[in-house]
Amino acid sequence: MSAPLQDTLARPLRDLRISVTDRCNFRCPYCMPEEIFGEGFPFQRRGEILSFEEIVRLARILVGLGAGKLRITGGEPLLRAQLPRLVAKLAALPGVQDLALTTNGVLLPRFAGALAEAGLHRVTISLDSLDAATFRRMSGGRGEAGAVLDGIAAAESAGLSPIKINCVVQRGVNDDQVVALARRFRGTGHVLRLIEFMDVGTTNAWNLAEVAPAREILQRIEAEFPLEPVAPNYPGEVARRYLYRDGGGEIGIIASVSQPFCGDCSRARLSADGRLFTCLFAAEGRDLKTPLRAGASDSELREQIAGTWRRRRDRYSEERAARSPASPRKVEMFQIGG
Amino acid sequence: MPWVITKLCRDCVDLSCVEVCPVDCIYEYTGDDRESFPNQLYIDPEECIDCGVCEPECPWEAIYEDERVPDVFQEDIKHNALLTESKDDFQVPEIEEHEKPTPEDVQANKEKWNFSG
Repeated sequence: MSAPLQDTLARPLRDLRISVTDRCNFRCPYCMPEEIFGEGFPFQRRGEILSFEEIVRLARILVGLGAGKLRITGGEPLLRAQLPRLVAKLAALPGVQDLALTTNGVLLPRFAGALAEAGLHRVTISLDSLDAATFRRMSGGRGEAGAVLDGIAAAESAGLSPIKINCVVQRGVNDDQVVALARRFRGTGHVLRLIEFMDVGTTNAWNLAEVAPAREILQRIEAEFPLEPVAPNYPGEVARRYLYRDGGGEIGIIASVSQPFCGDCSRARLSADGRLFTCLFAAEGRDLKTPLRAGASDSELREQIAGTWRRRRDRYSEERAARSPASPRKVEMFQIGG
Repeated sequence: MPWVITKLCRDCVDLSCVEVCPVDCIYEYTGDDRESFPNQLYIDPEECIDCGVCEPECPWEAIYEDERVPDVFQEDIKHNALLTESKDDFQVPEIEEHEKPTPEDVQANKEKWNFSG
């Protein structure tokens, strides 16, 4: 065994997020606003994105370098045809300890059973509001909260648990609805996670005034349901965990703006077109598709990936405050799935 | 904003779209009224989730978002919608292996319908 792979800040590689498509059936303004990603937007064509075989080949190498936790993302990953086939191939890789999928949930009634059968362990489902009008606005007029709840139920029946429910909290948009979400999911065994609105990508017109900080979100919940903090499940867990004191289960807060966690970040992200990103806020990814299709061997690809990780120095969220307001070029969230 | 399959599909029927559609909303006609429903594929606008995954797959460039359907194909919007009313005469086709058309084939097919897109 060689020495474990670490970046310049001694962070190991533990997680790989795999985007399987840049397309989505929602147009959430914080990720893929309709004004920019409307009709005629040139999403990637099929020949430009990695085949399942190519994804699995890269995943096998990354798992071998330490990324035992895999998450399939998009765009909306369930738009990728035959996704359970990919799940089955990833589930069979030696060294995979966790295999999860992030989805907007509306296609889960159709696919949850096949995904579970293929070997998916669990799902994380995005749900920004239970209120019909707010949900519709936050999904760019494309989605219904009821359809997402049906998706959550389908995931539960298929055994894709523990289920996490992700809610991006935007001040003045849905911050007044976090208590309703907490109430809805208390006692269900599902873990609601409230996420500070982040300046991911370049199109969501982010500004600090729209961030409802974790402290404020927690105060809203605590006013109704007293909480106690608990220790992380594992090093590098992004959510701060809390338990309802009355035994109603767990809730998490992802405070990436007010309390950045770059120091523990062990995540790599593979875009649908085969670029490896070492930060959610990176501008450039390492192109792996070109060498892959040019016939590079596994050991050549492994060396390129390991080299990229060894040189990694990203800590965007910790440096955010020191940056000038003119935001640098960044990869868009729908290309790397958050 | 559902997607619509235009006449450019007629007798071309490639099925790549069927292969990628995540909700199986692309159908072929199996009934007897061949005059009303010629040999092409149709998208059920009630089932389409507006994802657009099918559009780049069609080698004949026959699929458009309803708001962008070219003038010469406007009636295809209604034609696709007709399938919602007579579902029993439609089915999701089985995928078969087949050759893809050449760019010249695609252009000639467009000209056949007086379409210069």
